[in-house]
Amino acid sequence: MRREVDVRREYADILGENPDPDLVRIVGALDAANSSRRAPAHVVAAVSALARKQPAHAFAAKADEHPPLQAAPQTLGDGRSGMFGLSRRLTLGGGLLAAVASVVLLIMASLYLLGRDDSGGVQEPIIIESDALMIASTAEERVAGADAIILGTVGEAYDSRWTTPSGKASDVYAASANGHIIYTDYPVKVDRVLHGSDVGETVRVRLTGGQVGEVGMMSSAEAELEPGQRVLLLLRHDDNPQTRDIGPKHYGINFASNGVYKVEGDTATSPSHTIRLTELPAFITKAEKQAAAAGPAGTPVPGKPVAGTAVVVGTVVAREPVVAGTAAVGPVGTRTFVLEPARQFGIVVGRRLKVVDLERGGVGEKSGVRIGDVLTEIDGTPLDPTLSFPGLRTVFHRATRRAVGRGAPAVLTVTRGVALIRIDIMPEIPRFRPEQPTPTAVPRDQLYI
Amino acid sequence: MDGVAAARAGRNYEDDGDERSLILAAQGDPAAFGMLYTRYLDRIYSFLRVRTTSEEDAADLTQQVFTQALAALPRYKLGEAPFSAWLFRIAHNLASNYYRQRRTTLSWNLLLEKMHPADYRAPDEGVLLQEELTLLRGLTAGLASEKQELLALRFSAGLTSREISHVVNKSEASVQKQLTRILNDLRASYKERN
Repeated sequence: MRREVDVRREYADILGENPDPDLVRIVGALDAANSSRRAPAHVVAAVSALARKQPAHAFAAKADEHPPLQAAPQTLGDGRSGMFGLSRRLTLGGGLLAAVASVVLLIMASLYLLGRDDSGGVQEPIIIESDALMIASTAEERVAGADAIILGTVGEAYDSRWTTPSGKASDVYAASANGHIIYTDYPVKVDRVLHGSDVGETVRVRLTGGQVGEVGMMSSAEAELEPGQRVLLLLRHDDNPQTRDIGPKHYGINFASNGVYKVEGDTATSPSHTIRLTELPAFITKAEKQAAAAGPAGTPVPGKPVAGTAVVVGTVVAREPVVAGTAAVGPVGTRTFVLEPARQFGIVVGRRLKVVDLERGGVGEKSGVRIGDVLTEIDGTPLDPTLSFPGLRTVFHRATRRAVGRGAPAVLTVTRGVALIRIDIMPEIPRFRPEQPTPTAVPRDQLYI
Repeated sequence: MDGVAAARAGRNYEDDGDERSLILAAQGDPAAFGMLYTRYLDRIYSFLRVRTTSEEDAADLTQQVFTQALAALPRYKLGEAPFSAWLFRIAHNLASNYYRQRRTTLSWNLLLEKMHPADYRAPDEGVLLQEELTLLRGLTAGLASEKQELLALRFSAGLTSREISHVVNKSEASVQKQLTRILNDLRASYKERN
């Protein structure tokens, strides 16, 4: 942050003479928050190429330079705009498709704040969006973990509500900071119960996200329901501590967006699985037998540590999640469920991006990263050593998505002594594996990526 | 000295004879455009980063700005408006289109990261407490889009009020007054909440 005297001098035209000290502090903070951004290296290169009149393909972002090694990525999710018009596409590469699927437990939240229209008084919604990575699972695992499986037709949504006692929130920041989220209930008229007992003619299905007044909340991996759509739903009793005790009996969707199958004719299709309705009973039986044979299910159990994952629960406005020793594992929630360590890279970094530890046998170690290396670039994007951990986590999650999407490794550049080393590294999407030990939570001044 | 540093040092390119010759050279030979983009690349990117929701989008738009600028450069007339304002006008238009398409204006995450106290190299020099930063971030993000843009042009792009006036088609006095009002409103809300 610059000295007060410099701030006063540079912004004299808008600060005036003898400005209020608070005003100077605010201007100083705005100045500090906005002054250090540099164009990424690939933009510099692209614009340089432009000036040299190089061909258009030179402008492709560096991340796109890796040709896909496998078939074109499959899109998870239907690829259309989300409930607030933001794209919700998430792609996973062919290499993981066999295992693809998903629970979510994810990771970091981003807030997109939309402005208000000054003149007309029409307020644009504030969007609170959480970004999610999928954990791999099979269709059998998802089916076996469901408390109820139904065929039915989605009705019109009830009004979305906050989890506050009043269902509303006058101060979105305070509500978020206190862990409140928005949820939306849908009635689903049940045509057929394929699994589960005590399922009535209509079930109430609760999804995290929705819009209350000018505030919208969404999770990129949460399921979507369309009124009028015939669906096959994998339901679970709501075990999200934020929503389970609110209102009438209801269910959540098991495994988020992958727990919703759209039914057209005799075919049910989820983002990652297609099956004929006639084959469903046999498939459910097979899945249950497999789950029984496998022993403890890989499905997360609320409130208990889950092997391979230690989960940090933060809030949408938390800048540094509180590292929890035990897992608060639950369904996807718009409240930021942070999977910690995200460990797609198996690298623990300290301040200034120095590698302080490596997951034994993890992809980082296998790919050649060494303790003491300093991370400098990922996929051509320079890493700012002053980047906060949430920011760094975001950068690496995006790299994971890109790498998995194209089925080719991310390119990590590190400095080792005086050497600059490029390391191809294929991030690993974690799976629930009961046999794996729970990773040790890292100290607050380190980040497990 | 790069564009950001120059702007922050108070250097005013609009009266810069060197810049005039650079513009004239680039109008005759696009290869000479290099010096101009070197001056403005970081500032354009910085402005667009605040007006978009991802680094990728900001990078794409930055490239588009310079592509359009290069194509339109022969039509730029020296003396009509500062070159910086002309360039940021292109960025402003692209950002507006982006906003219309995406309905988003400000990357909350970006401010969140950059306003994190850990980002500051000199924490002893008047760093606001984290709570205060959180509050300020919320107040800034809740501003109308036009106000956010003025702040972005001033603080991210490093433009003077005069340059901004060309970008947004208002008088310099009006821009100055509006910025002062925005900051005073922020201060009032800040005090009220604090």
